[in-house]
Amino acid sequence: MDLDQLIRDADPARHLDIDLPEPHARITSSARREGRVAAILVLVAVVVVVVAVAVVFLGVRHQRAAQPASMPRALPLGGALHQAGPTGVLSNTRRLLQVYPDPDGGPAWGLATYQTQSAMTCLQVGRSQHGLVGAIGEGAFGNDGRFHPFTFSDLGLGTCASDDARGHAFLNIADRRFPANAAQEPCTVPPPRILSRMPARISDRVDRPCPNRPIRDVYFGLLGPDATSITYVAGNGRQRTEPTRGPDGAYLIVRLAATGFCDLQRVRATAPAGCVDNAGGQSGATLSPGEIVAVRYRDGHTCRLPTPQGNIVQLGSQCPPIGYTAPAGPSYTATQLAAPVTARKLLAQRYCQRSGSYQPAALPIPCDTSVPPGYRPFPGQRQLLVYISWTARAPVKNTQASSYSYTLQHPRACGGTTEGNSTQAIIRTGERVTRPFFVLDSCHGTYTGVVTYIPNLGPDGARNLGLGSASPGNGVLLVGRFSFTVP
Amino acid sequence: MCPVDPRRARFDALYADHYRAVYAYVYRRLALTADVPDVTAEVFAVVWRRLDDVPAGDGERLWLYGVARRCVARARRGDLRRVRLLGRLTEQAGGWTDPPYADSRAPEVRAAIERLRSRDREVLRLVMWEQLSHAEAAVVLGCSVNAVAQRLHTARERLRAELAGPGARSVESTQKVDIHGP
Repeated sequence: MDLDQLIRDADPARHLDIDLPEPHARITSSARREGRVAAILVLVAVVVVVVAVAVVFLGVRHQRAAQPASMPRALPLGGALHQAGPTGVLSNTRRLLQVYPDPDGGPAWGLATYQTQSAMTCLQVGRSQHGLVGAIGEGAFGNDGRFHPFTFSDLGLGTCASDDARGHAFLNIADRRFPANAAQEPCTVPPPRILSRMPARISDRVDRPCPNRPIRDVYFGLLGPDATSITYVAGNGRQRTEPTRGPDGAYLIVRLAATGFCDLQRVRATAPAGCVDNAGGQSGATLSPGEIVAVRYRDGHTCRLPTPQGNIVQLGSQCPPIGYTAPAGPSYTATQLAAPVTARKLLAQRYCQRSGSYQPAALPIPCDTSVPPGYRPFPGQRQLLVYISWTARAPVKNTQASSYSYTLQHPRACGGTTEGNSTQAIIRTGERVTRPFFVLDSCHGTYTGVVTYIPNLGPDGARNLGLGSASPGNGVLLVGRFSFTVP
Repeated sequence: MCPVDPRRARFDALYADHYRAVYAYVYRRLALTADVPDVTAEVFAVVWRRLDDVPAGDGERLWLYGVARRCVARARRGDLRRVRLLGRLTEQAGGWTDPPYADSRAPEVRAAIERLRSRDREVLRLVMWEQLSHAEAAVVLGCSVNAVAQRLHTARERLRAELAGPGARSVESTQKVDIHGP
């Protein structure tokens, strides 16, 4: 066989059967499936909104003091958004920490935080009015010109991060080219991090056409309790220093969207401007170079970052999450977590998986004779389904903080490749966890694998693990090994 | 008759025409198949935000590959811990998650491709798997057509050597290597 044919045969997508979902099918199917749950959640949401509005308005008086003198014109109140998001919000922890004027007028931008029962801090970012954070009806909500406050379940541009031992969160987000109305319009395809947090209940708006809207670059985050101020490059090109706010060192910067914004690391040697628009952003506990050029801390220490040259972000030093305290939570030993791992082979001509959006715990099943309701078949010829199972001795209460990892090593004769995944789900102590692998039934030999437990290794902990990080060691604990043979 | 929003219509046409190609592109490069739909969605989110920047005609797909390339890069080093964790592991081991392979030599060839230098690997993928011409691959990579041809030649030679190395079954080399590609 010639080389080119070998390469073409090795194309992993060669036999891929790709459905063409409706642009928003993942949302609508999810919403349909969870319709009954949604009805209950809507009732809960109404109660939460009432409580939230009461709490927020009680705090308006002192919140206003933090707002700039040139408070933009007030818009009439519209209906609240109803998107699903984090659960177990501790409503009395909500604080509006930062307000930043919009560079083109209109309501300012705001950053609010609140905590959840699962030891996470959520950042809610959007337009702000009367101490609330929300979206505005310009290019959204039928252009009603109203202010639409977010419920707790709608994070706007924000996201959630795990708390450290002292209840502080560390997170830095650069969200470039975001709609100036701060509305997560369901008529567009939401970014994955938003999509992952909206399991239901926005289907009623998915088919609305989105008008062309102005956009903004928004930089926000929590630098930790020790950060006292940031220096950033303002819209006029001059450096400006502002204090951080709140117990977590919150900051918020909003700019008219830069054209051709890029990271130097993405620069193409042949691009005349030396710049490739990345149309994206950064996310992490460690602050990377960008608009912020310095962070000052209580002890007088200053972390300096490279100053961007025009729209080009310079690579260089980063600011680590100073003040981070590792959670004191239960620390486990490999002995405590050790559990037998079993491998169960299920050979079939055809397999089925659940329709709709990806669900980590939804197992594919053999379905030679019939397709169960809610499943769709996919060709499984020459493949062997293997269930890997173990009993969890430690819980996963926060999927961003800890997880189980499972990897499989193929026989050397079959390339010896390694594949793996993490559980990506809440897991109770004592729960029987089962996850699938597919292998070629024609690829004979002994397959070996390992299940590990990855504890909370800090805000960017896993990033620092290095190569082979799902293997035991460097804080990653062995649960068990498994093997099976394809004769 | 209902008025048609031209912006929406353009997006829908791009989505219908290129979703599968973008999905396959992302699939070929990500370690975790679970993330492929999300990263593909991210590509089209960028498309929506930058709809006015999408070139017309034949340039659409190349522009989308350029966006997908950056989205994949971001996903690989991005804020999802499991991607960082397992992406590295899989990069190191040269594997894919849930590979739907059906050919006995495919895993071996894939592993060999993964061992190539990143720039050689990418040009090989674009030309052989995305079936781009050299000129089209040059647009996606932002380099010259000659550079694409040179890298492809290098990639093929290195791949041939990898596959012919110790422990590998021989690869017949009866055809002249075409450095000009399709």
